[in-house]
Amino acid sequence: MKAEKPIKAVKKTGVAAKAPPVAAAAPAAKAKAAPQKAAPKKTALQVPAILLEGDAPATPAVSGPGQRYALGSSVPAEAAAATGAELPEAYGTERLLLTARDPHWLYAHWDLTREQQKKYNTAAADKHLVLRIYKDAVTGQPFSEIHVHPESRNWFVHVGLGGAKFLGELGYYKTAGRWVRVSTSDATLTPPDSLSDDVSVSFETLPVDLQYDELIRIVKAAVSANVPLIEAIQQLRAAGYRGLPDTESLFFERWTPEQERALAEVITMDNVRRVWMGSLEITELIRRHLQEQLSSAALSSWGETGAWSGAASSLSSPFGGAERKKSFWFNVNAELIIYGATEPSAAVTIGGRQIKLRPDGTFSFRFALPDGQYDLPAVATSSDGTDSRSAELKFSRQTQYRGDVGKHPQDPKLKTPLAANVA
Amino acid sequence: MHPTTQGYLSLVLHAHLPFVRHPEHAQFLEENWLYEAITETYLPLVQVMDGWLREGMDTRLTLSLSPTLCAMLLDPLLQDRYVRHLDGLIELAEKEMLRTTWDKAYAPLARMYQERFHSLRKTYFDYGRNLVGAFRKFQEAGKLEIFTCAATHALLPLLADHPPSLRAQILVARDYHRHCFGQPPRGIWLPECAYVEGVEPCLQEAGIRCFITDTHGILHARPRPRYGVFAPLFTRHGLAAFGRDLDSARQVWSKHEGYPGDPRYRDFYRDIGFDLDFDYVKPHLPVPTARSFTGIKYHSITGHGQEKLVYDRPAALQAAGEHAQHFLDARLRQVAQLSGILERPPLILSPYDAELFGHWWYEGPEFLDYLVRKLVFDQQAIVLTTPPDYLRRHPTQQVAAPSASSWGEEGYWKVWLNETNEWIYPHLRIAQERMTELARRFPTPDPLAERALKQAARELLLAQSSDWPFILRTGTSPDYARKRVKDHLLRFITLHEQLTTTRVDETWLAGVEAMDNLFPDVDYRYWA
Repeated sequence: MKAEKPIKAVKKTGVAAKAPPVAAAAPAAKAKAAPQKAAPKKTALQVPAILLEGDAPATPAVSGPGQRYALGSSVPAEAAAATGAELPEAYGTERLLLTARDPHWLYAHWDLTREQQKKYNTAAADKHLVLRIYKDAVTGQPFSEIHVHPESRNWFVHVGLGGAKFLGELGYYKTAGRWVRVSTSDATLTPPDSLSDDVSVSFETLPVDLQYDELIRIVKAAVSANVPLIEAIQQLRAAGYRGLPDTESLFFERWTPEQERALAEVITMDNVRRVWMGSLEITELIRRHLQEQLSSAALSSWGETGAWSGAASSLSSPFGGAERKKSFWFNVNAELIIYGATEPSAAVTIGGRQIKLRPDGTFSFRFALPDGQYDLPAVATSSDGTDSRSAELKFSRQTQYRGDVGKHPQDPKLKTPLAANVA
Repeated sequence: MHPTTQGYLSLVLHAHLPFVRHPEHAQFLEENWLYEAITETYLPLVQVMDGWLREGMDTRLTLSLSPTLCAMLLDPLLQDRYVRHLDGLIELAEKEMLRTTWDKAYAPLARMYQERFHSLRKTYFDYGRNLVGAFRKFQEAGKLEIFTCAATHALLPLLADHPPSLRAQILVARDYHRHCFGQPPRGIWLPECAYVEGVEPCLQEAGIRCFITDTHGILHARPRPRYGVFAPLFTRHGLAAFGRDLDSARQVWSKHEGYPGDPRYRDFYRDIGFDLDFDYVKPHLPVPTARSFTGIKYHSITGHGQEKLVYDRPAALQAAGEHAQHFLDARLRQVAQLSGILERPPLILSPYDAELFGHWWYEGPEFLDYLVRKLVFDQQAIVLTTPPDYLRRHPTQQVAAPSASSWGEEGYWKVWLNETNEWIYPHLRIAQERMTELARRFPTPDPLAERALKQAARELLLAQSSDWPFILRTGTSPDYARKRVKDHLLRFITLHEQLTTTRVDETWLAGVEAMDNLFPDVDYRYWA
């Protein structure tokens, strides 16, 4: 070994308290460190600011755009969409989009540029556009009529009717109540939200290993190509066509009102709704968690709205309950950091246990430090085994608590660790 | 059918993550979604299934793997980054073993993590870092039915007014699935179980035979389904629609009754990334500037209002075993009751997000392991099956039209279409129509134009992911989601402009291809 680098040790006292500036000073004094061995000079203990950081989740600093990911761009910068670019406000097609969102609500959007919107607003007697919703066809009395804000380009329309077909019409009233149409939408269907009244029953047989192509070839010979597959098969079967898949022996034919009632008791839509409530929370939380815990830096790195969306730890767990809701509290933990450096090829043991050096030969290890007396010999041996250096490190910790402080009750049976126990 | 068979159980796991890959940054926070899911869910599942295979168990499980997830699992850059991530975790676990040397409560847990991470690393390398290949192996052994999903997990009912978009989402998924697993998919997990009848012609074209809806998708079918959700329906286009069972869903999902809330299980939030000294954990955080999760957690859920107890692994595994038994007993009762009513063996189909098992519910993979073992060894009344296997045994089913539905809040599309995210759809609508124009205008493009057309297809697909409106709705990382939608649409607009009015900028195109590199063989002609 050509040069010996010093093996240093510092003792660190981890502190988490609600009022860190005041509380932080106390434990450093109380949790008596072993200053003789640990501090290189016998001066008043200088605790670096970083050691006084709270252990509670800290609100991360918001960094400016790009700052966090300043390194390592391997893709041409211009390939990423120019950060300043924005999507067009509108495309000016003047079309009306109508989409059912659920059995009760429709979403309407009209693609008008600001100029087009202004033109129609100006032409309208009441200075805004009107959205009409029709059921089944754009004729007769509208199902509903909404006077929209002059600057609006979309609207959520309540229809409250599942299983129905709706169309939209955008226009305005000219003076004297004359209606001028700007655009009509395609039809949209609201999903049904009730059991069907149709209780007819039909069965069909479709072997899963028989390819569609094969089935379609069979039915195409006899039925128009536009008929859905199952209907085509049913038509053929009704016509006595041979060569269709054999049906399973029909144990389906018996079905009594008693069976119907018994099954209805097992499964009801009320149950479905209850499960939605439960599964929604969990599903969303799972995925939200994946996104949430990892969202903060990206959020600030894009440099848009700066607020952090909240640490996941502040969420209450659906399974575990919220954390950190108690009144004044104070956790005191002590950790020992042993760090140093040697030849990168050397072998180093601490307390008899071989440790892994970083590629540059440095190392840094921490130990949670319960109360007790500790010996930690540190030994470095050169790669050829001919040279070695060692340091005898001894520590002790004795803590006295007043009030409810200790978070990690120490095991009274804990003895000074032997080298064998460290490995 | 075995004479003792009273019914069937089909366990379906849906695995999906949006395509998040940022080669332009050395470290990218959102890429950790993938790394965490690999460590906590996908690798543990592979290990559990390997155990079943090793013991020659006759198991049947259904797993849907979304094409975006497969693309990420196969991507060499993300594989490298995952190994870096896992090595970082191993290093942290080793530091933890040392740090807790004198701490009797935590030392065994530090060792547990160290061993677990090493074992996961070994599994990862045993499969050549290729988890798609791992799942393919189980499929080829006849133990796993792999479903596909829409190409980028688009909410299909909101694309239904543009059939070429539906078609492209399904056929691109089919093609990529075939590329990944060597055979076309027999079943599909419709993203968010969102179904409208308009998807069926494309599913039929793709050769897909079955899909899953939420319970009301079947209950509200027309005509009324005789057997409720306990048998599939054949739709008019000849697909089999399977409905989700409520009871088994509630037992796992429910906030109050659900298994994952047992106080003995590992707590999800209490992580050393928050608990330990910031300097110490900093090198192991997803980004070094903010406290976050490391994956090492030492506490159990514990009862309400109590100080969190130290995680007791044997007790947690005991709980997983009890819950597996409880789940099995409940299914046995359910099947006995239903087979009495229906006079035919009922099918219980229980779908879950795969990431529930392991990521959220740490003991989930063990629960699954115990449950499947009990099903295989301890009873004969219930046969574990997959939807295609069930159809093979029971090819005759009632014909009815399922109802439009999803498994999202209130059962339809509200989560993906509301005040927070409606702005996406008008842009998508224009881009979709332009894509169709492009596909029709360039039936035989020159090589550079073809590259631009394929990239335009990728950008449009990525912009259609349901994940972005979902995130905007939950408000968790809205700026990232907004940026993703915007970036993909802007790249699409640029490509469209270059193809139609200016000329293709090869250098710029190469940069975009290097970033959004999924589906190398995407067929843009599907939009024609």
